[in-house]
Amino acid sequence: MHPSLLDRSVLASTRRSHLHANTDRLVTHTNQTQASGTIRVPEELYVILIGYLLMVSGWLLVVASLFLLGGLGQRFAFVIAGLLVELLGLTLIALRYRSLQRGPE
Amino acid sequence: MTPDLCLVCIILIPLAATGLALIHQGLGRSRSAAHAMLATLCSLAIAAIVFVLIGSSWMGFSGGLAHTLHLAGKSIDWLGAEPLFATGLTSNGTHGSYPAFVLAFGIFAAGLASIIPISAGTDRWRLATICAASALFAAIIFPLFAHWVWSNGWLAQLSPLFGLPPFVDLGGAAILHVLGGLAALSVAWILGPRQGKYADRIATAIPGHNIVQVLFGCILALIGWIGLDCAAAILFYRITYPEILLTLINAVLSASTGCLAAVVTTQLRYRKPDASLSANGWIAGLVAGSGGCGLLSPLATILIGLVAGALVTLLVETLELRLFIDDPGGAISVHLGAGLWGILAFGLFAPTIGSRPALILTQLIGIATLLGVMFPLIHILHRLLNKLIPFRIDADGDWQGMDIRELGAGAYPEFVVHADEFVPR
Repeated sequence: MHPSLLDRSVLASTRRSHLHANTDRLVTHTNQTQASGTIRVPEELYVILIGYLLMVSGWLLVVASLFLLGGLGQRFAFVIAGLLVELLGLTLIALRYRSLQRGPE
Repeated sequence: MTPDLCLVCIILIPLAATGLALIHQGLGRSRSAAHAMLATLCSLAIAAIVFVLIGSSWMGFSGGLAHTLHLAGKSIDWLGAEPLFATGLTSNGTHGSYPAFVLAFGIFAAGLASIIPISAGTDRWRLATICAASALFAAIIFPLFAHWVWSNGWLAQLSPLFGLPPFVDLGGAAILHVLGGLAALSVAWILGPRQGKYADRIATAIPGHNIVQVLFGCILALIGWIGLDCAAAILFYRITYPEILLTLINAVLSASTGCLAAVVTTQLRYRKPDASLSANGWIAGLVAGSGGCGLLSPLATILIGLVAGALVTLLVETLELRLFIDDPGGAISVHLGAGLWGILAFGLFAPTIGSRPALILTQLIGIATLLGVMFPLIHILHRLLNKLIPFRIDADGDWQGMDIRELGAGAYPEFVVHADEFVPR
């Protein structure tokens, strides 16, 4: 093999192994959500579960305003508050996934 | 209703799916091109079958049978109760051909919405799970929200129930695009980024392999979108000829302004217009414009398209660089971001005889329902499905490409594919 080709081959193989390691981490992270009994699953689920609960709570706030309040201004305030709670839940889930996908520092 | 025109419009809808399919596969890598197209075809097929067998029953239609929940002295219509397997279609003498029209429209609409997440999962989402996710979408997710808005469900009955205007979604910005975009977000989170996308914690550009097909897909999508917007507005809002023509005009205007806004934004930000982001701007304009297609003025539609086109370029960058979400086709920004803007824009710009704040409030209630009920439902269903059948291909498959790994042959067998073409040099 020509030396320059050899160099490229070594470089490509190094890159490939690096990428394999990276993908292995991603696949491991994905599969960890499937396996029960691993250490990371409960922590990940707790944060995401809190995110879900916040999102559903925000919606319940919106629905409650429809049933309990009559004035347009009051309803508007509650609907905005409900949306903000939902966004808080979504942000929590987004940050959790972001930290998983970036990997450890 | 104008049945002949409605039928023609329904027949046009598959062109929107064709356009989106071309965009998805063109923005993915060449090693997964055949897989992306086959996944789209399978998704459409599964969605059509499942929607006819189960989804159509739960979606129902306005004036049809429905499950109601009695709460605080109010009857909340929350789910269709038509017979399963579309068996009530031929024996329904009361409503004439209307249920058949709704079913025919629903088949294509559910299919179109179910292919949106494929864009976010390009290059790493397995075919079997794409089919399973499409089945869930067409059986549960799409019919549930479509019933609430289009089949006289509780969001369409806000006026008699709570004294507010009804939630309006003329062309499916919420029911198709926001739902599809939420599913795309859920899929992108579960799958994680593509191999090499965030090597060394730095986002690497993985350009689409065929931008010509992407731009051709935009033209096809426009034709399909006109059909989709018109058919939905005729079926569910009984719009007449002048409004149908306005729908057509608005679709062209929103797509045009969305594309031009993206061209200008990318020119200003990157010094050259970006073809793939401009294509995303075109589709974002269509998505945002479909929220109020037949009722908004052309001037309002131009403004909506401009905002959608500029918004999508910023969202793509934010998702990729700040939130580490790898969405090769930009489905989340285009369908979720522009869809939400389209729903809100209807409240801001639609002609109203009542109070403007009440209309905005109604549209916000719709958005809150999408985020607070539909997204958790979609994400929980996807996570459960991922437990049963893993979404993501293994590391070797990620490296080889989905064509070779899952289909055994590539889309372009005579092309030389460089294995490390996307690695930063």
